[in-house]
Amino acid sequence: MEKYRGLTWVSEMTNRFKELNIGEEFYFQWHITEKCNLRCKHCYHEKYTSANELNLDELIFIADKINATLEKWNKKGTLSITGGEPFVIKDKMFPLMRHIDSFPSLHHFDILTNGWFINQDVLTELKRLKKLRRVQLSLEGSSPQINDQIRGEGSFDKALNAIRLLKKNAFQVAVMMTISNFNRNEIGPVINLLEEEGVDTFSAERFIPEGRGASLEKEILTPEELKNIFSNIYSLALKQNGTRILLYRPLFALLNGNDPTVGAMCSAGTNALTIMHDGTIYPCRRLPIPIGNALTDSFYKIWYTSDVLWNIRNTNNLKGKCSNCDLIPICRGCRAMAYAVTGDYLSEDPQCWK
Amino acid sequence: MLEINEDTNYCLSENIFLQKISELEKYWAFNIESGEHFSLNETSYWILEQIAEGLPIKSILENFLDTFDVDDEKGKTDFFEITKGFLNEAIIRKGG
Repeated sequence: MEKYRGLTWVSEMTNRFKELNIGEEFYFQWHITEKCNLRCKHCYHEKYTSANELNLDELIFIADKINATLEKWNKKGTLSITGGEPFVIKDKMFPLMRHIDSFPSLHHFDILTNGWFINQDVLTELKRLKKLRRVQLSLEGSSPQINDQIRGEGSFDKALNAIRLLKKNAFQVAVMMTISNFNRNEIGPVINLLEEEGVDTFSAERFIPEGRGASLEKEILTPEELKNIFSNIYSLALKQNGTRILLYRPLFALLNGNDPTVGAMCSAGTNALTIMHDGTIYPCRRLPIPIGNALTDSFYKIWYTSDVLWNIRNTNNLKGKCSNCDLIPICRGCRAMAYAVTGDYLSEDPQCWK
Repeated sequence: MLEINEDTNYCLSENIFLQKISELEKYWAFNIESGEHFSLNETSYWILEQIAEGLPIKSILENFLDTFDVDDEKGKTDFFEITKGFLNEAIIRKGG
């Protein structure tokens, strides 16, 4: 009887994957610059010099490679343009976006920005892009008192002004919050604020101690703290009517494995790649292990031959509590958090409470 | 349609990369230039590994019949069917 129940569970997970169509999509996160006007305390970047930043011809060359790869794989492509702060290099950013806007393989793309440089002229330009789905900004608190301690003075007002201008111009707006000990009590207030402002989606990312934030280890939440926070976010998601709360992150699945809107497999080695300002490829921006360069390597070569990606894909390599977890088909933990805390991207997710 | 000759040596085509996760019974051949990828079963992967090692087709066939519990005639037919498929998909080529 026990064995039968186990098989039924696995079958449900398999069906769930099919419903989510995960295998049909492929995502590129493209950090076109490391330059940024802000110096957020938790930032995963370390330097902001953007050494060896690609010129526009090189960006177009890589964009065409992305298009060819997505067409070959017959994937529904999605892409985020980000930085640093991408609008710092808008002389390259806008021609690049106009170029990718014509790609048949690209379902949509998003812009991830701190909102500082968004004004009416910028939005007039952005309105011409047919495949721009959403503009994502970051907030770390519901007031300048909390937010600006992390992101810098004036950043809250700038972000809020950008949100209002974007909404006034009928753009979809997303807000992302990086949760740490410092702002753990701000989730409810931030979501309330986003409701008032008509923001479309909210997502929460765990703080990972790397880059500028490497020394902030005391800001990492314990597994029990994270469980409480994720539970809180999940209950808010069930109640929320306006701002949609996205729960597509590892460990959320622990809360309700039967709800297909809760949790997602870590995308490293599964359906995503990150391109850095100099073309370097990482499995994920939060897992900064170089696995190739988009200028010199084909995406096929990187995707098919990277030892790092294959080590992650083989779930038998996972260690600790991740090694025998029944949620492996839908979770696998955050490999970046494992790497940042232990130096081993295959170790158990240090924040897992299971 | 290309045919396999028992007296000819074959090797993996350029840009072909083999990968397996035995524990999950997953086997692939990838073309890292064109992006083509092929899902394989354990037997066909085994044959490609032997070809990659540079063994002559005759020896591979002998090893194949020794290794797998299969009737000689049926095994030989299947072996040539599979390797012909590899050749036609440009996973292998003459030489090596």
